[in-house]
Parts: sequence; structure tokens; C-alpha cells
Amino acid sequence: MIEYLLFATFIGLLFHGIHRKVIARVQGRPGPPIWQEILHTLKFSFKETWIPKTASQTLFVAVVFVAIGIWSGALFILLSGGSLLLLFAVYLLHKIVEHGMGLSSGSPYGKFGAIRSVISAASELPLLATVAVIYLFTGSLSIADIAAYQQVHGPLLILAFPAAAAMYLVILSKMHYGPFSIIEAKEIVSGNMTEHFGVWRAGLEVGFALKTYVLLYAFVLLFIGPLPLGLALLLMLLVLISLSFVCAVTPMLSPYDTVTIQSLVTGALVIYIIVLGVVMG
Amino acid sequence: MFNLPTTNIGGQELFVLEFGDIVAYFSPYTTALFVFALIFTALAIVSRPEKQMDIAFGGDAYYAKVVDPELMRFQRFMAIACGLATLGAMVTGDVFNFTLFASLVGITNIGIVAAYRNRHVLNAAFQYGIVAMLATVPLFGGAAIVVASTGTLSMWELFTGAVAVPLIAKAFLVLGVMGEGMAPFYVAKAEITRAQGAPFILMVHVSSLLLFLRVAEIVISM
Amino acid sequence: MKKQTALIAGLAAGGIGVAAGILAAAGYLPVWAAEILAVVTFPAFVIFIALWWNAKSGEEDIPFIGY
Repeated sequence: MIEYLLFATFIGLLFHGIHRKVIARVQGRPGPPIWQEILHTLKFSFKETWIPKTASQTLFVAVVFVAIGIWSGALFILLSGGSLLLLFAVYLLHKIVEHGMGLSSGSPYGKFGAIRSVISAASELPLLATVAVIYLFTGSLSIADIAAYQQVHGPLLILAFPAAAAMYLVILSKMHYGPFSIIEAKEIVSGNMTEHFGVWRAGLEVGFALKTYVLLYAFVLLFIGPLPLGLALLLMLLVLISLSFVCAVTPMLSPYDTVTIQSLVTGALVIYIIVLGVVMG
Repeated sequence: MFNLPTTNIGGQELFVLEFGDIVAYFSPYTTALFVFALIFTALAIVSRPEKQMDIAFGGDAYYAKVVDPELMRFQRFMAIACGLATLGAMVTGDVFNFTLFASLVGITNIGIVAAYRNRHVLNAAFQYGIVAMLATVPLFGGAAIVVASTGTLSMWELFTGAVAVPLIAKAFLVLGVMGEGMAPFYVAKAEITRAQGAPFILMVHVSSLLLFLRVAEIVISM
Repeated sequence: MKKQTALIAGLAAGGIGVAAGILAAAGYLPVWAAEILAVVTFPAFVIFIALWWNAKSGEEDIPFIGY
């Protein structure tokens, strides 16, 4: 149990490091070593830690626990083949964590980050549309059933390509340094993470590493099918590198543009669902 | 006696709670949502609001806002009421009951935001209030269409394959919940989050997201 | 937070998490219960262990703050 969580944390942090490395190489920079994010997390955990005087103290600390807790829960949902709707719920609850993280500090930068996180609520809509498409195909929202369906009918990546594209966009909107990462844009210092330093930041890095692992693993599991761990990790790495390429060559969008793009993708997917409904009866 | 018909969506039911003919149920899905609402209600009870810092534009000056204890007490009361309504909406097994809880969430959300005396926040709260009131029409209308077309409001009956719920009723329910929770309003009315009291403002967000998650389950199951 | 308190809390959380995993593997505890225990204890384990190793032991040099 807990050993798998530690494993997922380290792989997630390593993925973050690879992400930074690939972005740097695409942009012609040497970039940090790929284990940089692991060192980063350890470094933060050794730094002096306290709670800012202006913060809502309980909430300030509690969001860190919640951030790690929900993504550990999501990992177990994936592994035990639980409900896809529950995974979707965790993704939405992550928004509450981002929001609470920014608001609880009392810092204006944190609050700007929090407000941007509520503005980007549209990033959940493509995921809901993805869930709906998967339900149309498989008739079930249990991850175990979806995996079984793919073993009979072939991967959903081919059967339901638009849904896979939407899920890809969902993962992209949660990647660091991506076109949609407006909540941690540098013009507002570090956005909602500004005031979480020291141990709190290390805890958040652990939570975000689990998040990256879970989202990439969910993509592989839902659209390609159940695979042995080594092969799944390799595919996750490939998906990650493709995401890094997108992040490296796209500038950060303005907050309202992110909403527009995500809403447009959702709209396209809704049309796809309606067409599917007509075709499949 | 009770067997949840849709085990492939939220999992099997773990525990049922009978209130006469309203049977609340805890499946893995609704339990997870319930626990999450419980955590944030507890946080709203125990945590104190933050002291907001504001930047004066055009210079390096910043100032701290003071926390008014009266306002904090009212916001906390509303946040706890909102948490209780959310807890109810997460586990209820009756469509009309769900809509009642959803409208209660809408009312308490306005209360949390409108307590703060700032022109921008009050403006946003006023407009949100209008939307929430308008949204009660599709919300209760959806429940009314469900009972008129199927003769029952119990999810235990509605979730079986034998009962067909018209698409318009489902659409109305979703529309109503989207209006009651503030979800779509975040994009247009981010001023709401200027209000002080992070744990209480967060409750607005928690309740509307959880309501949305629950209505997604109900609509897919029906 | 005191160094010792953080260490005890961290080790307790880690211990419960590991014990739950072992008990579930041996069949004494349902897997879902072990998973819930792991989800609850893992954040506490991470945070308290980190708080433990950055807490002051009280024997540091007094930093030089100028003449």
C-alpha cells in the first residue's frame, strides 16, 4: 500500500523532472538534471517552516493533507478498478484544493491564483464529456469493466479518439509550464502556491507528483487497456514527452482564452456525443 | 431488501438509512462525496478566517483588512448550514429531497457571500441571487416532470431499467443545479471570491462542485 | 512543533500504514480498509517526517547578526 504510494511519488517527481528537461531541450537550453524535482522536494522539506501570520492557519495546513490524501485515494481507485466517476470527483476536488490553497494565505498573489483557478473551472468539462463518451461505449463506469471491454473490443484510443483527445487536453491543463497553467503564472509570483513554503511546499509537491502519475496512468488504462507495469510506465513516459513538446512550444494563454479553448473542445465533444447517440441508437 | 440497481456507476450500496419512504444510501461514490463534505464542514467550524492583504495599485503600499467578528460569526453559521445541506444532498435517495437540498445550498451560498460589505462583492452576490432564484424553476420543474411522467421520486425506482425518465427532466435537473451551485458563475463573477473568510468562501465552492458531482451520478443512473 | 512530537506522529502514521498493508496482504484486514488507512496515514507520514527533520534540536549556533 504505502510502498506503492512512495513509488508513485518518486515516479511522478521523476516525470516532472523529465518534463522540465524535455522543455529545456526543445527550447535549446541544457535544462536541469531529471532528478531535479526529487531534490527540490527534499530541499523544501529541509527548509525552515512556519505558518504566515495572515493565514487562516487550520485551512492553510489542512489543504496540504487533503492534496496528498485525495490523489493517494485516486491511485487506489485506479488500481482496484473502482468507479470512473469517483476519479472524476477527485479531479474536481483538486480544484477545491487549489482554491483553498490560494485563499487561505491572505496574500494577494495567492488570491489571484485562487481566482484564476475558479476561472479555469472549464477545464473539468472536457473530462465530464470524456466520461460520458466512455459510458456510451462500454455501458459502465467501473474502471475494471472498461478495461475488460477494451480486451474484447480493442483500445478506446482508436474507437473513441475524440474522447482521448479531450482527456489529453485535461492532462495538459494540469501540467506545469503548460499553456493552461495560469494559476501558477510568474506574473503573480507563484500563484496559489506563493505562500506555501518549506514543508508545506514539499507536501504539495508530493501531492502533485501523485496527481501526474494518476492522470497519466488513467490515460493509459482508460484508452489503451490494462498492461504490465513496465509497459504502462513506458507509455506514460511517451504521453508525458508529447505533453512536454506541447508545453515547450506554446505560450501561456490569457485566463479567458483558456476558458474559450476548453469550452470549444467540450462543445466539439458534445456534438460528437450527439452524433454517436444517433449512429449507435 | 434494498439493492441499488446501478452498481456499475457508483458501486454497490454499503449502508441505507430509512426515513419513511425516503431511503438515503451510501455507495462508495456517495460516501466519498459525503466524507469530503464532512471534512470541509469541519474545517469551516474550526478554522478562523485569514487576514487579507491588499495591494494599493500604483505603488509599493499594501494594507491589511481587519476581521469583523460579527461578520465572521454570520459567515460561519451560513457555511455550516451550507455544509449540512450538502451532506444531505450527497446521500439522499429521493429526487425531490435532492432538489430541496440543492436550493438550500443556493440560499446559504448567497448568505456567505452577501455578508461581506464591499460594493463589488455585493453586486456579484445580488446577480448570483437572481440566477439562483431563476434556477429553482428548472430545478423543481425537473423533479415535477419526473414525478408526472414516472409516478415516483424515489431513486431506487428511477434507477431501474423499467422506468424511463424523459430527457428534458434530466436536462432541467442539471440546469437547476448549475444555477444553484455557483459553478458557471465563477467564470463570470470572480469578484465573489474577494470576500473575506477563506474557509467559508471555500464552502461555496465545495458545495457547488459536490452538487454537480451528485447530479451527474443521478442523471447518468436514471 | 517539537522534534520528538513530529517524529512520533510521523512514525506512528507510517507504522499504521505499513501494518495495514501487511495485514491486508496476510488476509486479516479487508483490502478496502487497508487502502483507506493508507490514504489517511500517508499525508500525515509525509508531513510529519518532513517536520521532524527540519525541526530545530535547540543546539544550533546563534546566527551572526552583525556587530
